[in-house]
Amino acid sequence: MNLKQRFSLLFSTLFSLLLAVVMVLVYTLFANFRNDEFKARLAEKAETTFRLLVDVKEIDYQLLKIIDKNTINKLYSEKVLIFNDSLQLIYSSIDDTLVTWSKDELRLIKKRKTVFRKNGIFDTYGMYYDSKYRDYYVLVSAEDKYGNRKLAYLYYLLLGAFCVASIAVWILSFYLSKEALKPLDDLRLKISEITDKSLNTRLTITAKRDEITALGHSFNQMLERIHLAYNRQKTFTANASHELRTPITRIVAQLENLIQEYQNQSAIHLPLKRISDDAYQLSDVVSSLLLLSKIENSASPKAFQSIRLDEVLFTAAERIGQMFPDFRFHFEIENTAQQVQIEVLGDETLLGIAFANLLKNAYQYSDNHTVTCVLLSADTFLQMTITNTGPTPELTDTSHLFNSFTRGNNAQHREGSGLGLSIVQRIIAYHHAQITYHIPSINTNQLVITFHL
Amino acid sequence: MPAILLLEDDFKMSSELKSFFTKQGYACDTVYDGLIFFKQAQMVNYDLYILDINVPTLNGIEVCKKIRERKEQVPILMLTAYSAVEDKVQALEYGADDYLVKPFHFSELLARIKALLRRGMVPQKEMTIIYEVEDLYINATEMQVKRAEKPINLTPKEYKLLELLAANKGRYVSKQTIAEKVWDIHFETGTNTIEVYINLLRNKIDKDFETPLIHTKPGYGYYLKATK
Repeated sequence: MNLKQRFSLLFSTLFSLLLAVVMVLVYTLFANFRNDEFKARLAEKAETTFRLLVDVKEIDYQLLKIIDKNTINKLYSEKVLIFNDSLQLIYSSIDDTLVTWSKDELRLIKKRKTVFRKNGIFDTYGMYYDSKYRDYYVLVSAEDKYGNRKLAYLYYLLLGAFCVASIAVWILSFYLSKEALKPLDDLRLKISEITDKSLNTRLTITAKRDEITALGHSFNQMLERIHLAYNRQKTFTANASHELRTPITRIVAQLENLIQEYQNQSAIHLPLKRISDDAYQLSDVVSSLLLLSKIENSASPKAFQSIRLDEVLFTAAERIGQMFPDFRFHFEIENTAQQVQIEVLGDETLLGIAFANLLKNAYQYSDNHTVTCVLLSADTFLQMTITNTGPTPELTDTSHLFNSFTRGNNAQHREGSGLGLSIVQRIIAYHHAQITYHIPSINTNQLVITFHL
Repeated sequence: MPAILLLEDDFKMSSELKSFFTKQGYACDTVYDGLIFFKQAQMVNYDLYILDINVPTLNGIEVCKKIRERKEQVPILMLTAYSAVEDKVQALEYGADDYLVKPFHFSELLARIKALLRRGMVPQKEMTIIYEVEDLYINATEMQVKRAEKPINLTPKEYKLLELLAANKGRYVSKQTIAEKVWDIHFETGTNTIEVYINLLRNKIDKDFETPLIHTKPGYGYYLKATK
C-alpha cells in the first residue's frame, strides 16, 4: 500500500469512526430524552388516575372508566392497573392491552417506590403509593408511538447521513490525496526515466514554494553532483587507459625483441614468453576499458549504415587468424527467408570488435581451436550462432557472464580480464540486438546474437 | 629485403620497432617528424610506410594525404593510440591501406605488414587486368565491376568469388576450390554456404539483366560464360 492510499484510508477511517461516535451519541441522548419524557407522562398519568380513584371521593370505579374513555389527553394503547396493599387488582382501565405483571414486580415497586421498564413496544411505569390508610400500586403501560417514530426517524436519518458522508469522504479523500500527490508521482516518473546515459537531464521545477518543488530542486542538485562524479570517473578511465597505451606497446615491443633474441635459450625464452603474454593481457584490458568508456560516452547512436554481417565476421575471423595461427573457423549460412538477407544497420567498427571478441573467446575456450559460426537468415530476424566445444561454466554463472570483470569458473588458468563479453553485450545492445549464452549439450558453449530486421 | 619507413616520434618505441622489423628480416628506417619523413622518402625507395598519427609538424593523416596526392602507390599502415572510429575512417579515406591501434599484437602487425607487402608486389598501372564477359566488365586492379556500364557494388568476398570465376574463363570451378580460394586458410565451410554466396552474387550480377552469366554445372561447380 502506498503512502497515498495509506493517508486517505487512515483519514477516511478516522472520519467515519468519529462520525459514527457522534451519531451514536446523538441517538443515545435523544433516546434517553424520549424515555425520560415518556416516563414523566406515564408518571403523571398514574398519579392522575390514582388521585381520581382514591382521593376524589366523588369518582368511583365506573366513573373513572368513563372519564378514562373520554380523555383527550390519551396515550396510545394505554392501560392503567391499580392494586391494593394485598396485591389485588382494584382497577383496570378498559383497554384490552395486555400488561404482564407479577407479584414479585409489585414487591419490587414497593421497595423502589417507582419502576420504569420496557416491555416490547410498551413502556411500563410502576408506582408505589403510600396513602394514610392503605398502600396502592399503580402500573401504567403505554406505547410511545410518536416518540418511537421520532426515534426511528432519527435513526434512519443518522444512518443515511453516516453512509452518505462516509462514502463522500472516502471518495473525496482518495481523490484529493491523489490530486495532492500527483506532482510527486510526476516527479517519480521523470526520475525513473533518468538513466546513466541521460544524467544531464534536469527536472522542470515550478515557481511554487511547496515541498515537492523543494524535493525536485534537491534532486536536481544531487543529479548535478552525480553527473560530475560520473564524468570525472569516466574521463579518468579513458585518460588512464589512453596514457597506458604507449608504455604498454613499448613494453610489448621490447619483450618481442628479447624473445627473438633469446629464441634458443629456453631458460630465458620461456619466462619472457610468459611476461609477454601478461603484457598482452594488460594491453587487452586497457583497450577494452577505453572502448567501453567510448561506447558509454557516445550519448546518441551515430547514424547506422547498412553493413554485411558476413563480411564483418570474416574480417574479424581473419584478425583472429593473424593472432592465432592454429585458429580454425567453420562457417555456414542457413536460410529460411524468401531471400537471403544478411545486411543489418550498424556500426562496422564496433560490430567488428564485438565479433573479434566473441571469436577470440570461443577460440581460447575451445578444446580443438575450432569455432563454428552459423548465420541464420529468417524473414524477421538474422541470427548468428557462435559455438565451440570445451569446458562450460556452471549454469549459475551464465547470467553474470556479461557483467564487467566477471569470469566463468571454466576461466580458471586462462588468460582474460572478464571484460570481453561485457563489451560485446554493450555493442550488441547499442545495435538493439540481443545476445544470449547457452550450453546446448555437454562441453559445448554457444552464444546467440539476434538482430531484428 | 623489403624496406620500411617508420614515422614515430616516441624514440624508445621507434627503436624497439626498428629492431623488431630488422629481426624479422626487413630493412627499417625511422623518422621522428612529418617534414623529415618526406626528405627521407625522396632519398630511398621504400616498400611500406608505417605512420603514427600523433607526430610533430605534419601529423600522420596529413602525411598520408600528401603521399596519396603525389600518386605514390606505396602501401601505408597507420599505427596509433587513437581508436576513435572517425579517425579510422578518416585515415582510410586519405588513402591509408590499413590501421592498427596501439597496443597491438605483434603477430597481427607482422601479418598485416606481410599482406600489405604482398599487395604492393602486384605490378601497378602497367598491367591492368580486365575481364570482360558479354556486358560484364571487371577491372581486377581497381576491383571495379560494371555491367552494361552500371557500377555494381560487391563485398570483398563476392568480388573474390566473381574474380575467381572470371579468371577461369568459362571453365567450371568446384565448390571445394571456391571454399579454398575465396576464403583464407583458417576457413572451412559446407557446400550450402557456397551456394548462398553464388545466389547473392547472382542477385547482383544477373538479376536485373536478361541473360544470366553465372551458370551451374550440376555435380561439378559453377562457371561464368556468355550464353551466345
